[in-house]
Amino acid sequence: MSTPHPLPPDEAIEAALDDLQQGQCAALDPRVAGDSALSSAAGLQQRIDGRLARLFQFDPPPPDAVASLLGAPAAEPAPALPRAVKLRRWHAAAALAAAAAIAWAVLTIAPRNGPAHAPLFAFQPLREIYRETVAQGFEPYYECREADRFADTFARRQGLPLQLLPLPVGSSMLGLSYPGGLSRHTTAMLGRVDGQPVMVFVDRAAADQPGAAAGGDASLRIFRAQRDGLVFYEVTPLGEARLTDYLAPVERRGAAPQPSTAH
Amino acid sequence: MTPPQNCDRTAIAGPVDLADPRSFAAHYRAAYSRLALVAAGMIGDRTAAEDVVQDAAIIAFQRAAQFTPGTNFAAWMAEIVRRCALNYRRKAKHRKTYPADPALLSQVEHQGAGGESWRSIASLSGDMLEDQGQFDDELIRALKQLSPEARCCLLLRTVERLSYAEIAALMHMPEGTAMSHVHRSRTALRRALSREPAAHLPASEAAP
Repeated sequence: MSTPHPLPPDEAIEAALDDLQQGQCAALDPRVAGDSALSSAAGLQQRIDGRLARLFQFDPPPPDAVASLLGAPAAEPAPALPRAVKLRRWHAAAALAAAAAIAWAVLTIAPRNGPAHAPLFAFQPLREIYRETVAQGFEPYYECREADRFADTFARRQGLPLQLLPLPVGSSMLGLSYPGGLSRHTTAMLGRVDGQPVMVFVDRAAADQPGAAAGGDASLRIFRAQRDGLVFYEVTPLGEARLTDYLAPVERRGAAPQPSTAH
Repeated sequence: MTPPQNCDRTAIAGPVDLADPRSFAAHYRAAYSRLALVAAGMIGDRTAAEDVVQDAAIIAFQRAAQFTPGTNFAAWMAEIVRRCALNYRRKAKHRKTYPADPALLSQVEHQGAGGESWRSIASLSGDMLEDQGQFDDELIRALKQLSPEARCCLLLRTVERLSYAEIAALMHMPEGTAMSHVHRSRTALRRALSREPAAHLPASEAAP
């Protein structure tokens, strides 16, 4: 093991590194540029900053997603900016020109280097998720006990508020998880039926995946149901779906459940 | 000193009617990346950060009447995000699983085994170096050693390039404290990453 590299301790170097921009290493204080140890630290800091900026890049959700979240129409008024910061016309024109240049660069350069932004989500068979969840203790992300929040969660993620009808003896709901599966927004309800762990995956019908029930495992069965624009998959070691039918739209309290089909 | 790229965003704070969903949404979207960084900093990774911010947005919208017009919307919401993130962490302490993580981790693990396909994940981050994946792993590990407040300050400064005054306002702490967090965090990360020689070498050179 090599000796840890001595790092520049003084505040002046910290301040220099704080101002460091990628590609500006040569413009650093001559003390830094002329000292190999300091220059090395500056280079490392550049790399760290670059990686952090890329790893933690968050883009705001689209307006319709925010509107859906808040239950509001998608159109947003322009935020009221003080006059002092309003752009003049030529500023706006310059910004448009810059945007066009960036768009051109993205469209012409990015394809050559492969996709710039691979999707964060990849479909995963539900049996796999079930096994992983069981292996890791079968504990929900969200112990959702309040009916309102339960409904809000599905309204937010699937566009339809759901309620859990009173469960029969032997069945219980543990909570909700967001394990992915069909889509990034798939919501899973974890429960126990006769002591066995059971998961019900819920998503919009449009997000359904043909391979959702893939993965041979005689000890697990998957039951599928589709209603109200949603698709339900119950993954269970039992011989029948025992939870799905108790998930019902809030406005349809007491509606007759439709039978689930086995896969 | 380089001005923060988004310093004009603070101008959005001002007399606003947050009870109007469209107005709330506009301000929420404008502040979103900063709020997500606060959540990511408090939690320690970015996986659940967006869910935490969403939960916080719903709570904030329900409590819009508590917002004082003329004050900083982002700072007001950041406090709610911090509380939601703390709640998330408290619950996470008592469970063994993070259901959003296994899928992503499994995905990365499976793709990593395929050699070339590793790049499709790494391409999220742009320039691909031989040891980029390993460097990122070490960086994330080192980041998790920082305190939540220090992580927040570091990420807000590094990713959003906020001024220390803006960070201080968002984090409800003195400006000097924010600056100290950032400097100490950077030193800690450099120390952690420079202590790991293998992290800076291609795998072939790092092998014994």
